[in-house]
Amino acid sequence: MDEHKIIKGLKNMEDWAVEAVVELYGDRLTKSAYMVCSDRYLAEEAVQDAFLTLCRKIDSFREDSSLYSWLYRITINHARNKTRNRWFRKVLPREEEQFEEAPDYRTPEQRVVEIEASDEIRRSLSMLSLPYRQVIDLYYIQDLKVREIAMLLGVSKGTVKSRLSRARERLGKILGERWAEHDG
Amino acid sequence: MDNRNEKKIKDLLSGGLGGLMISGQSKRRIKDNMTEILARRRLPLWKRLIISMREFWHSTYEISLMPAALTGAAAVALVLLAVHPGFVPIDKPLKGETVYVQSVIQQNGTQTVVYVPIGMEVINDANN
Repeated sequence: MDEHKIIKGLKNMEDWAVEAVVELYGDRLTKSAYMVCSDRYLAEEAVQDAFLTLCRKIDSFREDSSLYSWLYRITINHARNKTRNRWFRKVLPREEEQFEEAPDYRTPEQRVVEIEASDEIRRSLSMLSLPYRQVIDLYYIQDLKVREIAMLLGVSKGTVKSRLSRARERLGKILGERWAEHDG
Repeated sequence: MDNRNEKKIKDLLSGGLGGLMISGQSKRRIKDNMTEILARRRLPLWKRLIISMREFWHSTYEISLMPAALTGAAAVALVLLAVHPGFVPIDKPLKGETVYVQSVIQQNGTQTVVYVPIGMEVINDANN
């Protein structure tokens, strides 16, 4: 779906545009928000707040950047605020089925091993500082180019490259054993 | 950049975060909330204003409107007490007050006003 069509649809207050934008960017933004919060629930809340902000402020969007960049920045801001305020948030019991993983066709044993690996990688990522987590997310998970990341974060290409290099190095140290296992 | 290393990182990260998706339930909730916002924006301004006021009332009456109402009531009570005849300041001396007499002295064409305490103790409160 073309971004311009979605923007036009949202500006004309058409419901199909809501459907399209959530389907197009919902999962990507959740991953980015997770990289900031290291908490799935807070990440989802941040994404929801970002989409609601989009609906309220769409008229002020001038299209000098892509819709995704705009949404990404809003999501990251919400995620950072939520992380900052997390210590005094009231903890409420959550429903179990709130999160879904992608369809799963693995055997139970494979699933246990892979869940453990996923948890370990998520824990390792949360040990990196925010700028490093952001570049890892944008480069490896969102598949953006260095130039696009630089524009999105408002830093130079050199900064992105050096952050990427340090992030890889630190992730390598943290995941040392898993590296070796992967090589084997 | 080492392509092998790059692939290794990608594989690990896609294993770690690849399955992280927004749930169907949350997606529906987000879409419903967004659709509601758009539906509201389609309404005429006066209707939107009424809805906003109603929401403001529901969201804040316990935390800000109640103290405001209590403060307002206290202010009204103070004004009523101030204008009540029983609380109006009096001119007559009270028991134990020193009474001053204002004297105007004229001498060589100049006029001076002096206040002389008349050393008189008020025995009986003039109000009684």
